[in-house]
Amino acid sequence: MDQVLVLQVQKGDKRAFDLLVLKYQHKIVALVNRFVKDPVAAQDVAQEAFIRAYRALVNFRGESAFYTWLYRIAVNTAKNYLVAKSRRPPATDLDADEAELLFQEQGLTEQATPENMLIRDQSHQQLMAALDGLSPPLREAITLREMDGMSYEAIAEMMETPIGTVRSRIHRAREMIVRQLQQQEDQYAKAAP
Amino acid sequence: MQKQPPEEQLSALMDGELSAADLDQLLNEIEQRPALREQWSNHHRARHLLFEQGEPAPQSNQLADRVSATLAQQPTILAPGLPLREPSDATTLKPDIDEPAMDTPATVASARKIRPWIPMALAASLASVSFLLLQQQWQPSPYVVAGREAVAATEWVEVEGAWVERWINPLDRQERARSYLVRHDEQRTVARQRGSLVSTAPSLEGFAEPTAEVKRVVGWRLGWLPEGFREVETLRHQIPLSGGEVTHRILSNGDAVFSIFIEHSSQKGVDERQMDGKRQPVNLYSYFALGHRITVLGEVPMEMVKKVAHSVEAESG
Repeated sequence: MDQVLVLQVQKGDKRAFDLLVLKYQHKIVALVNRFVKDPVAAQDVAQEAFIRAYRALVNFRGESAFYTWLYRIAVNTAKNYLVAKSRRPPATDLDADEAELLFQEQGLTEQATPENMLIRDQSHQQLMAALDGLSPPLREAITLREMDGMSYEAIAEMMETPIGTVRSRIHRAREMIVRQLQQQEDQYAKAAP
Repeated sequence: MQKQPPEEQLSALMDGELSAADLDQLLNEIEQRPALREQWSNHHRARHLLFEQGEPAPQSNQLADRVSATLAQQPTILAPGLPLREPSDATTLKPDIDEPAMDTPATVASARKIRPWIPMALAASLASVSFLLLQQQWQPSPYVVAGREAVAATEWVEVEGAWVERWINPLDRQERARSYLVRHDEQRTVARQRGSLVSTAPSLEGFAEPTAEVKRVVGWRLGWLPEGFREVETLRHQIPLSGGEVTHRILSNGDAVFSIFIEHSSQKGVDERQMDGKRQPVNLYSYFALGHRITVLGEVPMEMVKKVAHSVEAESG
């Protein structure tokens, strides 16, 4: 899915890399923070990881997904940071897939706390509320896309509608979801002590 | 067919449903309208939180802004094997990686415009003539795109008696170009002061015959220079990657400054790029001749840099 942007970067267009950074910034910061356990340092390490990724992108051949490749760079950058800070990095030399598994397990353990269970429930409720707020055609289109991973063509066939309509419905659904999410966050912010 | 609004194009790009041709247009739109960049970020944040069950993340693009600002100061990358070309028709992007990374020499030779001019001074020996015939093929890649910093470049290497063209690792080339730029910038202020005896704005018109002072430098000479320019200094440096000593000639008219680097080298091929100098963009042109790499850079038009570079001739006597 990132291939079109990666190729654009490889052809010398930095603007395409900006979109990749915007897309993955939150995931990479969260990943790095699991290593460095310092939100401020995580921002710096994540920045360094993206810069390294940009410099190395010239050699990226698409043998793995872009995110898997980026993930590996971020993990290595975080480990280098820990070594430079004279802190012990994880004993095993994790590759992206192993790290993903490990963090999922850690995440499951962490999520067992009441606080994290609450956050998880809130996220689920947010999703349900966001989907409930959509008209049936929009809800169906975005669900088929985001949850079932179907292509626009397949969705068009299933919904018996032109592909342009599918594209438009998915876009409108996203707009409404973002708007709802922002409203909810504003409410949480106001309610917070 | 009705044009798809950029907001919808962004959404399609999220799903890998946007063509390469539309991507180029969309990137232009995003550059003009920062709200589109915000939209891209917000949609991914929502996807991360709601559909991927990711951790809550702040609504901030501070990190992306920092990365973008840092990269703006760095050379543009360019993948070897990817021909630089503008997106063609509105078709979905095919993986260019699978396309052949290099042309055969015969194809390249026929596809390229052969430079008609050959420096007369180098026609003295058969070896030189042979070399120059080959040199005609080492002209800039046709894949030059205006406004981009890096230019696809190749080198010719001999493999089992046949000359073949291959892509040069752009990171090496960038590193070398950066080294030249550092040396050039170091000398720039002094060079301008020394060159200020003559102050004529650089022009492509009216190239003057060089003075005797300018002509004679370590076995090489300049065929001509832009009017008003004079040599202000000749230095020797160690340049990273080249591993050897490089002669650095500095020329100025009191306003613009040229640097000419000449070094022993076995790396063939042409490099042509624009870089960010300390004060303004610096054009660089570099080519291989008679076992040497000749590199010219300066805050002047690329055409002028190339003319100076190709005026460098080996001294026969």
